[in-house]
Amino acid sequence: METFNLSGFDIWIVIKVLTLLVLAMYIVFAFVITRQVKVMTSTLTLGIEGVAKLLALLHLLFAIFVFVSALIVL
Amino acid sequence: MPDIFISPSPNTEVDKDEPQVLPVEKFEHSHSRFSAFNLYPKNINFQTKGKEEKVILMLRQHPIVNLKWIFFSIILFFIPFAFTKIGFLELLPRGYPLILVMVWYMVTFIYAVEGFFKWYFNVFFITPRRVIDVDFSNLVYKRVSEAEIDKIQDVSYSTSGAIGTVFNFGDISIQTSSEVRELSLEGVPSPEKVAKILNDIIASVH
Repeated sequence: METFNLSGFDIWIVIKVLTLLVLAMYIVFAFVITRQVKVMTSTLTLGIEGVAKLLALLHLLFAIFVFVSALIVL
Repeated sequence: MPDIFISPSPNTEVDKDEPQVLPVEKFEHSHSRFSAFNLYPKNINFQTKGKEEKVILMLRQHPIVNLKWIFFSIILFFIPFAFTKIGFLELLPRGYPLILVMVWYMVTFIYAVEGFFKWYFNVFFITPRRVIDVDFSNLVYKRVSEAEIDKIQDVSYSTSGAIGTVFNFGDISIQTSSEVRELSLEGVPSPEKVAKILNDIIASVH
């Protein structure tokens, strides 16, 4: 019968996987934000549409950057 | 009391769909894109705006409501420094402090951006025909409510609290007979002027 060998089990591996999972979900959230900002700026033209879109895009790019960094560094 | 409306000249050609009176600019206001009380705003548009429809007044919440997210953003900005100072980040394995700090600032950044957008894009328009309330409660929720001017039954306003009294901002409640029974604006500057403008437009329509 197969038994679970917990000796040498590293909790940080689990934390790393969970961190990457959360960061991947955050990328989806950041993408949703860019879509919502697009909706917002198409609903209203108040003068800062370009800046709003740029901020949302920077946030998405940064979220991807953090995910890739975590993949490499952790 | 300043005149808010003047009757149009009898010789002036007036659009049949537009009310017969329009307000004149007698209030202190600003045309800045960050203004919370903007009479006859320029270069603005919204999805359902008619080609000939003029916006008389655009309102936002008083800028002082931004203090909350600005204050918390500053606190959030300095928390990683405090963690470093007390040595918390040194307890984590290699690589984790860097990722934690990056995630922290990413969330702080979007919190601040959301706070600003929530204020900036939450606007209320008064046109000669209708009032439109555009609500962005957060970055993933949008609601647009509107009511025809001739369906408005009652406009009331209130100013409460020391801060509201000092900075002259308050809430406005608009009762209508349309599908949207009530439109409420919270924390708008000079609520008495807004109510006066609305009441005068309503009187001109009826």
